[in-house]
Amino acid sequence: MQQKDPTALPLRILCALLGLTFGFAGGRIYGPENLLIDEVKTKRGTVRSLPETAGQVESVSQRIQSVLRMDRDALAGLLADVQKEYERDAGMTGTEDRADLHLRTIYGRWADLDALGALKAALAIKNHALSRKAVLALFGEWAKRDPSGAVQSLATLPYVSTQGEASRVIVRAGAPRDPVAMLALIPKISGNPRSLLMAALGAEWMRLNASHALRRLLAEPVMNPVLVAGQAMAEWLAEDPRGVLSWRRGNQAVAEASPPLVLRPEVLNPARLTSMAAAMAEYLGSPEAGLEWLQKSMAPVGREAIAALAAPADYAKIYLKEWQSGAEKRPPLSSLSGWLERQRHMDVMGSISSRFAAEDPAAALAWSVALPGDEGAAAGKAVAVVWLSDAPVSAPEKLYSVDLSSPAGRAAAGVAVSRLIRSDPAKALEMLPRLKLDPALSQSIQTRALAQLSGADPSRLLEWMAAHPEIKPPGEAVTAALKAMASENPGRALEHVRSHSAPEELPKESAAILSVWLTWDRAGAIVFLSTLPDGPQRDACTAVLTAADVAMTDPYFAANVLPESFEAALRMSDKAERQAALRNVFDRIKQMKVSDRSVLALPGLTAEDRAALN
Amino acid sequence: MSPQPGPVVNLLLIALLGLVGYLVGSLTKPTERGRQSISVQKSIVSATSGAGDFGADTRRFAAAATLGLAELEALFLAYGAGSRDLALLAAEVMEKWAVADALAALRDGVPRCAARVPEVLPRSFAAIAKQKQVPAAVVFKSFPIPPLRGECAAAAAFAWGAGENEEVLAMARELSRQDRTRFVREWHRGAPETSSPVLVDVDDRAAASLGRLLALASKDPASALRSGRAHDEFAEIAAAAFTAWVPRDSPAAWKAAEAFTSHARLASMTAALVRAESRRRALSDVLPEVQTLISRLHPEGPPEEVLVALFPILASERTQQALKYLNSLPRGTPVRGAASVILFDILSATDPAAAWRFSEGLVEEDGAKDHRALNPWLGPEAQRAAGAAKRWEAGFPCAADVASLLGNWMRHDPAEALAEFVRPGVSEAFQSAAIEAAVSPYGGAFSAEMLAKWMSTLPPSTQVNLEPVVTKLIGGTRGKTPQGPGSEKR
Repeated sequence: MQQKDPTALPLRILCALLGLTFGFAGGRIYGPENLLIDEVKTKRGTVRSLPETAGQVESVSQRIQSVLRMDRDALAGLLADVQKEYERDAGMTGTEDRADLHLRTIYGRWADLDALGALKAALAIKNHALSRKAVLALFGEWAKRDPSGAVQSLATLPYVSTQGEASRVIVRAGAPRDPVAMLALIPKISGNPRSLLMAALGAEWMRLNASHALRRLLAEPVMNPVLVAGQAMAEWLAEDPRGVLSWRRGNQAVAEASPPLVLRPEVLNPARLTSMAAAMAEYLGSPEAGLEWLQKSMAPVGREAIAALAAPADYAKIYLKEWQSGAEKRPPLSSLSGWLERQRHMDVMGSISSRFAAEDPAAALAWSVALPGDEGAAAGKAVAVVWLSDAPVSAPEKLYSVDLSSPAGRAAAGVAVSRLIRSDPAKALEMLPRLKLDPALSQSIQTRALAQLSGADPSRLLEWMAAHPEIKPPGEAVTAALKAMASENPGRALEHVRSHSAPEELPKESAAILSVWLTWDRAGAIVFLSTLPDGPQRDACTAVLTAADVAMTDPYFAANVLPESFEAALRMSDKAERQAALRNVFDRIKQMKVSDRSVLALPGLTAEDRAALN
Repeated sequence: MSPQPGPVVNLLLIALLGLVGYLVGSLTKPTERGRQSISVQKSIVSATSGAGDFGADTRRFAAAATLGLAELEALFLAYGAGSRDLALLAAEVMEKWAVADALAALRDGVPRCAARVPEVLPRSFAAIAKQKQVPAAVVFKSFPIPPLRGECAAAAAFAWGAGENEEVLAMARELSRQDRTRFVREWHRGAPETSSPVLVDVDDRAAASLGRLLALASKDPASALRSGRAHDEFAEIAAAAFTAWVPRDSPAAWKAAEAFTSHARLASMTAALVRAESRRRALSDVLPEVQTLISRLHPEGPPEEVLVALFPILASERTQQALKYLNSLPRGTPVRGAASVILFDILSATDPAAAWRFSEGLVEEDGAKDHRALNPWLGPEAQRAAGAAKRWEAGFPCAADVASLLGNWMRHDPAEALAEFVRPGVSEAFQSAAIEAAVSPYGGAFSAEMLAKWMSTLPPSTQVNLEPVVTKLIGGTRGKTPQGPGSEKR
């Protein structure tokens, strides 16, 4: 009998425990997670159908949680779902932000795995807007990890604007880690002028250490370091006004010597403007003090921003006073700098007027009416545009009764009636004589109104023309109206032509009517043609008929209509036109392999016509 | 049967029980959501030491069932005020907070966001307004000051409309005319079926009607386009309709526009179609198709409204494609002329170097005259009011166009602009204009010192040539030249 080993049992128990322990640990660490079913499915390459219910809508958000465990295929699957969600929720509040959030998270992971592959995937997204977002999200994440690598790949971006935006994203994303290194990298970046990239870098750098950033920017060998530093500080002010004002408070000496702020319109939005207004009131004592500071600290470019921040009625007075007081020093309008200054002035006036009109349109109009010349016209126009959009029913009547002797009044009334042209051109035509506008403006509005009416309500245009025989509408408007009328009631259109058209217009207008009539009632159109006496009107209509028939591609219909067309062409009175039409139809008969025996036997065909056919 | 040798049994035991252990381990493994809900607080606190970890915070927020003040405060410590990262994350916190406790989100979250990240307020107000436990009057009082006030009110109005909360319509009278119109429109966009008796003002009724049409535009674009034909805001209706329609069925959307041929609204429709298409695909990649689609609707050539929509898109994608489209328009026609003006204006703002090359090309065309030394306009207002076609007729590009271009170029990229104008062969008049634009406070805003610094980097022969121009403008640069490098390295 074999002797039992006393260590065998403990050894077996030990092995069992060892197996259990390692197995359990392995399961906890490497085991699949029950809640990651979505991920598992995605890994297999299945793309789930679009979630429909509120519960399912969460799925992309849920799967984002496990993005760190995803490989490239799983990330691609998730990206496909982000696209579906983005397209489904287009136009809803938060859709754009949510897409940005998801893409940033996805590309944060993807940049770790394979940034170049991630770029390929971002560019391959079918939805162009989302693809652009994805590219920017990737470059932001990539620049945090490897700014040089991101910069090298910029040139592969196919579109100019994406390249420009991506270069700014790289600079801003790379700046917090090492702004000095980023500054050194800027000359290698394509897609944006160096000064703009430096301003973007400066805005980010100033958050970290404004005084240092300012010193470095001003010492950079760029063409205009003052402008660059001013842009950077203005960008920082727009994003974090409290940060700027608090820094200024603690570093007064540096702040006093800092360059004038250059606010570019594209860095402003309502949220930033509101934040700036609140911060300035808080840090500088009152909104007025804030504005005064801004006015002093700002370069002449970008004054529109102040107009958007101030109470418009007050700022309008301050601004105009300042403008008028500088009249003597101003360069003449004939000089380039004079022109640029005047252009900027018009922009500021437009901005003030729009803000004023948004708050109190009647007061804004009264203010604009008192302004002279171009200022008045610019202000009146801006006020009218805003007021008409905000109060589409009550504003027009008020604008029509404005003082038309002022440039603002004329501009405002012009805008009102121009707008009316689109929605109710007939009313605009009625309104026009009451307004006593400048004759050239009035004429142009009338022409546009008539053209509009011809499309919107042709019968009304014809009625209007009958009631106003003294006014001759543009030929295209009449033709368009007659064509529109012919598609419903060609008889009425012809009646109008007979009674109102000048004899020289008759052939052209009848032909226009016939061209539409033929498309839906060929028989009726042919009967009408047969009733016309020989002459230019009949010739013009026959030319339309032959042109339409020659264009026919169906062999069955061609066989029926081409001989009829040939016969009609025979009756044309102008010899050259007749022969050209006959030849066209005959060529088509041959092309379509229709029998030409019957047409060649027609009694009206002269020897000369036969010669022309060959 | 002989007994199994000990080591084999032991190995089998390890393997079998290891498998069992693995299964048990996997089954009892805590889920990602569970782990993250435990760590959410911990990680945000760790983030307070400096820059936040955007990816980690996004994942944690996605996992957390509720978020609130602690997370918001932690975000403010971890991310720079006004940064895009903060805006994206704070919006998520506010939305989840509003669902859990809308009143607290309004009371504690909104003022904090207003101070640090105002961009999130419209979305936050929309989330708060969805929760019925917060009285609308309280929400109304919390709206920020203008100009953000209107945007926040509009976002909340849509949510209130969707919840058919009619009492807020009466409160809208407190808002300015502009904000009120927007509020009423958005309310009805959220509740297109509701006709509220509260609205007695004619402009409010018009805003309500537009709101209903906009809601219809996303559900049934074809009907909205038909019903909105005579509406003043047809362009907006068309934009909403095609934004919804083009991604679903682009050919049908273009086909629908064909039914409007010869209608005066066609140009607005085409412009809206082009913009909607540009969101779906890059138009410069499919230019021939776009050309065909547009010419089918406008056989006589695209109207200005369409060009104003199309050119910025093409120019922002590939400048060459914008020029290619322009060249496809028949030469010598008014359409081509107006298109040239529109494209020049767009390039002048976005890519001044391309605009300059384009203007050079225009004056070198057969039979073209160079108008760049003349300014036919009394002032910028008259020039703007004239429109593209009249500007072309008056002689384009003229001195005023060159002035605008130079002003933009000097602000955009002064190094490139000046380098272009000091090239040999550029006329003295243009060199003078460029330097004038460089020193103008509305152009490059160069000081005399900066100009001198730049001059010092030029070859001596160029300096000699430019000296009279500079002297005429700023009284000369000799003696002002500082030391050191001055040229911008590109």
